[in-house]
Amino acid sequence: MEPNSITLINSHDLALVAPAIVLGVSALIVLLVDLFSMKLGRSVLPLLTLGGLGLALIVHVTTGYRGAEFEIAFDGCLRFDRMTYIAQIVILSLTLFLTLVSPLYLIRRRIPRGEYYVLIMFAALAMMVLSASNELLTLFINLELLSFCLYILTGIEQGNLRSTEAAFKYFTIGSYAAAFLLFGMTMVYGATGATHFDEIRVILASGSLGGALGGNSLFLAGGFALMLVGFGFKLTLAPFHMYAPDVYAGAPTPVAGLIATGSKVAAVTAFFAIFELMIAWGDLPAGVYYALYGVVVLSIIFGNLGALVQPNIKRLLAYSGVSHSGYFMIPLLAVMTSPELMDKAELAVTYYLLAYGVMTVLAFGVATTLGPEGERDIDRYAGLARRSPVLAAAMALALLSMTGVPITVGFVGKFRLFAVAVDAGLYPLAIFALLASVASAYYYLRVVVKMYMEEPPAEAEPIPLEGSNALALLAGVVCIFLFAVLPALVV
Amino acid sequence: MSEIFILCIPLMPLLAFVVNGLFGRWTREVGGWIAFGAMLISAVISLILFVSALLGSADLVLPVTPPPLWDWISVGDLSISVGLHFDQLTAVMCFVITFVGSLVFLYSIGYMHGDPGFARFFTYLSLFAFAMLILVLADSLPLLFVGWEGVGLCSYLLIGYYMDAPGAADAGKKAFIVNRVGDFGFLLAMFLIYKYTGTLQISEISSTAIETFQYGGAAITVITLLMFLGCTGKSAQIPLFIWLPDAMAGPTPVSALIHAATMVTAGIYLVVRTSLLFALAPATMTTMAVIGALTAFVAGTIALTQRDIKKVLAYSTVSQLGYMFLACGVGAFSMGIFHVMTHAFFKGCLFLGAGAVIHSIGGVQDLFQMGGLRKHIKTTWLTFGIACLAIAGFPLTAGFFSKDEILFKTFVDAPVLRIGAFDLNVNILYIIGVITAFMTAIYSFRAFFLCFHGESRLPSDVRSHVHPPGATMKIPLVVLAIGSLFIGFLNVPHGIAQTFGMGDSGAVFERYLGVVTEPAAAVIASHRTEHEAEVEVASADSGHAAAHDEHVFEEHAAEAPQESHQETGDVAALATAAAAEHGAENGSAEEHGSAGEHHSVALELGLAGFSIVLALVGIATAAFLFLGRWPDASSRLGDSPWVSPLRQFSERAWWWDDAYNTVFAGGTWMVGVVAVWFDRYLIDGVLHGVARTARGGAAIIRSLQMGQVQAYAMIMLIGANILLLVILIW
Repeated sequence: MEPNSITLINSHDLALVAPAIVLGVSALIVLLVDLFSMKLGRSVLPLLTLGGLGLALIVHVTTGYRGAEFEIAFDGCLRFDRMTYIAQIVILSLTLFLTLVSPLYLIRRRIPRGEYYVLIMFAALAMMVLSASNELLTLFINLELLSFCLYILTGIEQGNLRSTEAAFKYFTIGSYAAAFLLFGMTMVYGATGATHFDEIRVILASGSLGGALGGNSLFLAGGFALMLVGFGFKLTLAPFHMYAPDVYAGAPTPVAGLIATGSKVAAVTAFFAIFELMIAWGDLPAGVYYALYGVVVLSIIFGNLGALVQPNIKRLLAYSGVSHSGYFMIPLLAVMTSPELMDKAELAVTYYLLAYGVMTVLAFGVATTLGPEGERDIDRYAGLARRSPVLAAAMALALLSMTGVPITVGFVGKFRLFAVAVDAGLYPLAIFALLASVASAYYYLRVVVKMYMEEPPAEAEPIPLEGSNALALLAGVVCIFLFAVLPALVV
Repeated sequence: MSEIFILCIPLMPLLAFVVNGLFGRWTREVGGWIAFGAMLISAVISLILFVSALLGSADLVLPVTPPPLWDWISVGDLSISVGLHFDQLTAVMCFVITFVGSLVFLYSIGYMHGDPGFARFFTYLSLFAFAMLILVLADSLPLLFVGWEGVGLCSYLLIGYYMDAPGAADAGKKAFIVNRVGDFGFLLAMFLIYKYTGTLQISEISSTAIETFQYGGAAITVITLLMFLGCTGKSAQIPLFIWLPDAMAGPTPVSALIHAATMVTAGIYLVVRTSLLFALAPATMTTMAVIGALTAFVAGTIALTQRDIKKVLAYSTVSQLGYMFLACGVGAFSMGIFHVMTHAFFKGCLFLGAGAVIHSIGGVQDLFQMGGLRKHIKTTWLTFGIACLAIAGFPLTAGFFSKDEILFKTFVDAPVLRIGAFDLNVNILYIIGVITAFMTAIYSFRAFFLCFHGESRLPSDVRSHVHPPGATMKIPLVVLAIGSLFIGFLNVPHGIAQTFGMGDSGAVFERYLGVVTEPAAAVIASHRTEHEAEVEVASADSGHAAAHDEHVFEEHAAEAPQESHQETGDVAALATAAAAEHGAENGSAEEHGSAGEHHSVALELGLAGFSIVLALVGIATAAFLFLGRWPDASSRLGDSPWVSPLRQFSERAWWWDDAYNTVFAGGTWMVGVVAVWFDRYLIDGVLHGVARTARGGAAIIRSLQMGQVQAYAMIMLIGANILLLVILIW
């Protein structure tokens, strides 16, 4: 980029990133408060965090994306469109939800709270910007910012071996995957000579590749392949998902929730932008389609089969997340065969961002609220309906939604994803995904059956419910129905 | 003012229902009196309205349509409000329901005394009365259907009232399920009506029917046939009559009210209410007449041999309902309703009498264990006897007037069976009707004689404890018996009235209800003359008829259809026009367009005389067989080689239930067997196979998940390489 092309920061751009700025400032305030008021009020921290997130959400809804097709900011580094807008709302809401259910959990597990909230907010900031990235380096830096926050959060429970082990694994594999991603980016840059998506798109569409590597299309294809590997890690697509069950199981439950939902929502949004680049390339090798097809099928198989025999709730949710990532990619395949479905596919993916986020975070929310009882064995859920009807109902609802039972967001979401595949004529894939989704009922309902049809252990007592947790869970439950009955509220 | 009174009619039982339903635990026996009181108020209102309608009071301008109570359904073009419609027909029905109803309520207070479910019983009973009144007061088909289903529900609840008794719950279910078959037909008919006319308001349907539907067209025929299917369910006609006899498992007052006097007449009511539609579908009319006559006959034969006194009465009800449909089928809609009214009185009286008998001898229902009860329960004996005379058609009783008129109309108007070989027209429906009338006399007096006369066959411990019914039970019996004697005079047939110097005062009821049935009668009359004209023209071609006649009829034939097609929308105008035309043709001062009136008074008297003779012979036969003076006459007859198979046939109710069991229950069972096989071996087999495969796959995946970072990285690397290969080489 030429030095003289740097433009002044203008108010238009600032308005678009205002929520992120609010988040950054709030994070610094929380950090300072934590630093200078050791005794004054640790309980102020979650309130400040909630305030920051809430303010960011309000700012985002009131000043963000204004319904235009898309808006560009910071010299094309950021791009705000409908998908970004929805994804950012989802990200902020998910973080808000997890912050609401966290305090009690942190106290029980003796987790230092100052860093926790600061990191959560930085992670949210990174996710916000990541989902709006429109430039290779912006994307990579924010991805790394997000990753580092999550690495630390995973291992934040000092002295807990499982937590430390999970953090180490996450960090190692994450760095490994980041190398793939970065190398892929380098190759794309080498083939096109541009880092801005808008420029790359123009170059790809024109068919005359420039760049240092002399427009070698082999490098371009290879670059996309390696980026797919890098995102495969973030999105827990098979076979790059192996770390997920271990990390989810070892990380503090709300952090696992954030990894499973927020970071995935942001990564899907970012990957969708990369995907738009790919299909802009007229000479895109057919292999990309088959490679993605294979990844989707493998993810659905691995996710469902892995969850089938899981005795641990967090690992089960990790595998379930793998299969859902597979579902996420189905509309992309459809677009590759019939490009005219782009708009419909974008809507389907956007809706599923919300659906997936709501139902997954609700499940993690229940697990967090249950604390030590709810984050290990599914057997501990036996008779939960007797001990805490609210928690059992919320969990059951989340799981039923993941199964795809009607009048839940999960049903509408899956319906829209599969409908795109059907429109594109990908019947085998649609049927396969449908059958897999039916089969998934087995392991989801296994938990429901345990909660409702089995007797609680003899020594078990009723579980009290904190106000903030109840509020968060209630909001989740409402969302599961609300957006299923009125999908028009989303897109 | 009358609007408020009309609203009160269904409201009172509803109030009683709410009070007894909510506070039955505390009201107990008082609950019966509350229900009765509410019903009595409705009855008084209904009686006043009915009488003033009958006398043509100037204060009551019919039809009364109170403003709609509220908007019920509003979807697209369809808008249904809850509204009532009160005309002459409704007045009769309300009167019958509330009058007989309140008597049955009063009777039940005595009959159900000491029953643990007393309040529950009266709750159901009040709800039933409410539903039935909604049925007859509804101004739209959907609201009518609410009442229709409501009485079905209450019937189910009341049949199964003795839930501990063997068979009671099953009988309730049977009634419900069989009725559902009919309801299905009714619903489909409703859909079709909406499709063609775009409305479900009964008055609007009637006013648009003539221009919407072609006379005898497929659409109207299908609609009316489906509606008639609904009627066969509710009114226990072939093929759906099998539930009614089983319904006798309920308490006897229920049988009297629901399964004799009111609910089962809902089908007749529906036919008469939508008579214009039926009149437009001659095929349905014929079907209805044939089904009615057949049902009357079949049920009559079955009633001849039943041992259970309530079963005799139940089959007799089915038989009498057959008469009502026969009347409607030949176009005598008002006679159908008249028979509904007279039947309500004498059959109500018979059932309540049977209830009194059963009550007094501790629950015995077998006729062959009774006998000689005349001495113990005099009032019951007398009232039961009067009701038997009425149902048998003894001269001047209610049943005589109504049934005889139906037979007369059948003789005159029924479609005839032409036997070409003998050049003979046989009115087979009339013959069936007459035979059934004969059987009616026999079976009713068989029950009467077996129950009250002869030697007592009661077990000795019961015989000494016969306790006569109390006042609450006696009063309804007496009132109903008086009604059975005199209510028939409401409609003395024309011929008889003229012969006995009553002038034109006959056929009061027919004229009264004429306002409602007129449009239908007009349609039938105009098409009948048209048809006759065609026949005449045909025979004129072969030189049999005078040229003048031919001219007259041809002209008429040309006019009549024009008339019915030009008169769009205004049914009343059409009716008047048709009637006027008809009168002009016959050159007499007849007031109505009924086709039967050009037949002579002599014929009417002759047929009446024939009916009387039949009734008397029937009673005499019953006396000969069952009065005990010839003790083994009946058994000797029954065991004779010619009669014995017939008797078995009758006793098993023509194997009707067995046939249904084999075909429908058996068929369902077979489907179930196949489905189970399919489920067990095909579906489950596939599922188990899938599950085994999945478990195997899961085991493999689990073994991959060894928890080592190096392994994960290795797998990722392999995956990345495959990905690269696929992308670069493909």
